[in-house]
Amino acid sequence: MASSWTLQELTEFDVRMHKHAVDHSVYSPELLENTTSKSECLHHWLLQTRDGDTEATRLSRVVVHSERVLQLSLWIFSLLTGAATAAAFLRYEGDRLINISSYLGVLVGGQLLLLCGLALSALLFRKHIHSLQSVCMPKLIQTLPSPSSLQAWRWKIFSSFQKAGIAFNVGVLLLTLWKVLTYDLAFGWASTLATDSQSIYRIVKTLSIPWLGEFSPTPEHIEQSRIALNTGLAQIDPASTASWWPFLMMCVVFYGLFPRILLSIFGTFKLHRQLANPDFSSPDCEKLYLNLTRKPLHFFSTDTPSDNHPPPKRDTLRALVPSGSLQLILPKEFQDPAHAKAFAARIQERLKLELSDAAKGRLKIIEAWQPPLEETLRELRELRESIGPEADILLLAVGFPDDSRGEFFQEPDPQDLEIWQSRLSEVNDSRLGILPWRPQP
Amino acid sequence: MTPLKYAVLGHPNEGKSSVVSTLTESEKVRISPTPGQTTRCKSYVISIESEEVLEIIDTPGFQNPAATLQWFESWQGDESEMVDAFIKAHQQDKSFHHDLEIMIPLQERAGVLYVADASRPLRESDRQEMELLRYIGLPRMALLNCKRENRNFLPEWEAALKRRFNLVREFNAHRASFSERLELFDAMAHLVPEQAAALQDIRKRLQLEWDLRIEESVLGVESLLIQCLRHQVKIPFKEDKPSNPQLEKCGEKYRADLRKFEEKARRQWRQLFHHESLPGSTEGEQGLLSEELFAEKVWELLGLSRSQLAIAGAITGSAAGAAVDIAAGGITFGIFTAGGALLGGLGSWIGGPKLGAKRLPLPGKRTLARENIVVGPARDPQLMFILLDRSLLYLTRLMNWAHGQRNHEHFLADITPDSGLVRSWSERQRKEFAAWIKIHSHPGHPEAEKASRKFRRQVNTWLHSPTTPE
Repeated sequence: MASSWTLQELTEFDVRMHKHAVDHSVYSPELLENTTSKSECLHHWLLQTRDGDTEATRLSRVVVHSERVLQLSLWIFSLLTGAATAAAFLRYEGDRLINISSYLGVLVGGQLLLLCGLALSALLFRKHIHSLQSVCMPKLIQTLPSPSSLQAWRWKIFSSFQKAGIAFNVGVLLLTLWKVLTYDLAFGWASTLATDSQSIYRIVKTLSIPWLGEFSPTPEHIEQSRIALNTGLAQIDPASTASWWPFLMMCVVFYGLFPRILLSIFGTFKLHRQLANPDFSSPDCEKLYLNLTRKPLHFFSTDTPSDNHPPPKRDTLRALVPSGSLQLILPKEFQDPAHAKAFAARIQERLKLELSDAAKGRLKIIEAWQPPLEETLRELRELRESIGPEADILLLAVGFPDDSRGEFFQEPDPQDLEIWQSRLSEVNDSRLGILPWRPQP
Repeated sequence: MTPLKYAVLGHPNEGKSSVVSTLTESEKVRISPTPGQTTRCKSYVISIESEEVLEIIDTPGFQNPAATLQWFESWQGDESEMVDAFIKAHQQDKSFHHDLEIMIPLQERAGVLYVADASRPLRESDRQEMELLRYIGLPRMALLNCKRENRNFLPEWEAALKRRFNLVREFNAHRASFSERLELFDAMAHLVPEQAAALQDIRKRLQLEWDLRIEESVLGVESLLIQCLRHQVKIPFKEDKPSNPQLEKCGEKYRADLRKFEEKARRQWRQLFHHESLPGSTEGEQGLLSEELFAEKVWELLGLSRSQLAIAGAITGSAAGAAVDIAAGGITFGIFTAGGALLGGLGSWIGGPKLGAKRLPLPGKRTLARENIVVGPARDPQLMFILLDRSLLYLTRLMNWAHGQRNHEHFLADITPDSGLVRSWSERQRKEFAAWIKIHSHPGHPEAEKASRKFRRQVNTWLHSPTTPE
């Protein structure tokens, strides 16, 4: 698998990250074994999780292909513009020499100015360059919150414009060559200032340093090709006027074409570097990488759905009005004789119940906050067997112990009482009832 | 490798299922205030890389402690066959169904975690259960799970438990934090020395998982903030200029989108911490996090305070004024710097946090094509401070919410801090976040990675901090 991204893949990655739900529980040990960097890992993830021709793939393909078509159109346009511009400057009807200053000024000087502007903007107004680039940026990328392909796209656009610059210069050169080969062109120079030909020669020499001074007109040629409107064309030496074209073309090559080639190489290099190591520092990419590399830790239950069915609803216990006196049964924790006696007296007073040790019926104290156990139900059944079917069994449900106001117990929680009533209904005993303890308010 | 087994036993309705739920981060554990709802043993497993490492078994409560203890006390045979014999002897007795279920993990020699609600009095049936477990002789730890505030009965429980259990620990299943859960794993490692290494491994893995979850949450916070920071709403209009209802509609769409982003982030955090059933917001409840993002109260209490905003405004104003002073070659004697600071400070003071909610929607503007009302990207840093505040408060609450706590209606309701968290930040921290906002306003800033690293480190440290208020 390739470790470097293509612009289409990176765009597809962005689309998948932001426009589609990414499954974040995607730990894959193979992915970790085969990759050494975050970029490589995410690249492999993209290739592995591609599921046929998805919308993201199609979308990114359309974006990249559209960019290619636009780039081609831009090249053709630039080539034609270059040729047309050169043609405009190389019009020669035989009545006036072609002024090399116009040709150089626009086709070389203009381009150099543009390059200086670019360098200055890169240093001082980077933000504005980005704004300009965003005009050319695919709409899809502009709508994504943190696209990883953004920098790659910026360099792609940059190098596309440099290639357009190359096409422009090629257009200029081809047209110039065509004109030179098929027309009789005569170049000259002019200046209102009393500039002598030596000064122009020095300028020409300086400009031709990059190509070691070759293809430059000699001082004589320069002197002979001076445009003097008062003397007309009669004084002009044809060899001298023709000697300028190699120099002009070399100027376009070295000051127009080569910088664009260098910038294009630089842009392509930056683009490739960006594609080899894209910026995956956005939180969404970090999150995906975290999940790809995180060994899974699961918590799961062995529950089957049937285990979670709520238990059937039980009946509640019928109300019981005891007939006659009852014998008090206290819990083990409450068998201090003095305490028990005082509590018995309070029950008689508060609940108007008659308590007697000789009575057949029973008044059993239960702590309602304790859940009713099977064991408790068994005890009640055994008690029923021992006292016979006619005697009453009344359960007095009490809350937490509370001696602070001499009330012995708090009132039971209504929810606890309900639980007890429900559970006691299982005993199926018509002489069994439950009563809540009501302490003095 | 067979997983380590621990059975959670106890009296009915003592909070066994809550303990299991909290320990295994499971929302599937059925928790009911009605006793006897757990009728069968249910296993909850922790697996690392598809390997089951720990099994926590939820069991029904003891229904016949006295009779069961009596049977064990009267057992005459080999002690190793005691549990099997008990199961065999009571297989046909329906009233022992729950007790037989309890015996299944004991038969498999599982470690015992005995859960007791120490906020109620100790009773004879409790002593019988403890005695019974002592008889069976498996490694056992008691967990004191106080369901109420009452701690009067705690000494009595501790005394009784210490006599019969290898270890006694307090563990409130409704409030246990992550570190308390880890402490419990540490204690379990002491319980069975031969399992100590395996339990330490599990503990380490849990700690790592927790750290990674926090890391992912921090990334989620940053992702939410960036999404809200750069969000734009465009609504086309045909007339010469947009009407007020159109502007209002655009603003409302912008606010609704931001609320949606926040809710989506909260949902992801809930999934991350296995709290899927917790609410994103609680309707009808009064709480700062239940309030919608643009509520007046939220803008009043969260984000930067009025004075902090005034200072920030003064700094921005003075910077703008200083530029004018410099441009004038210093002949203005710093008048513009002072004026800028004064205007900026006053403007922020008057327009302060209370009016923040009203300031949105941001002023509508036309695009170059003169056909769209555009709201966003957010130009008010206070919105980011508020979003960060809300995210941190929500995450802190979520991280500290025990899975055994099922009163979900209280999840967000009772968060009523006097102010948000960013107000307590140092000047440096606030400046760093302000710089983060500026850098991330547009994608592709060269300083973005550095600013993000700093931001993530700060939020991560903050979420890891043991002093993080709940």
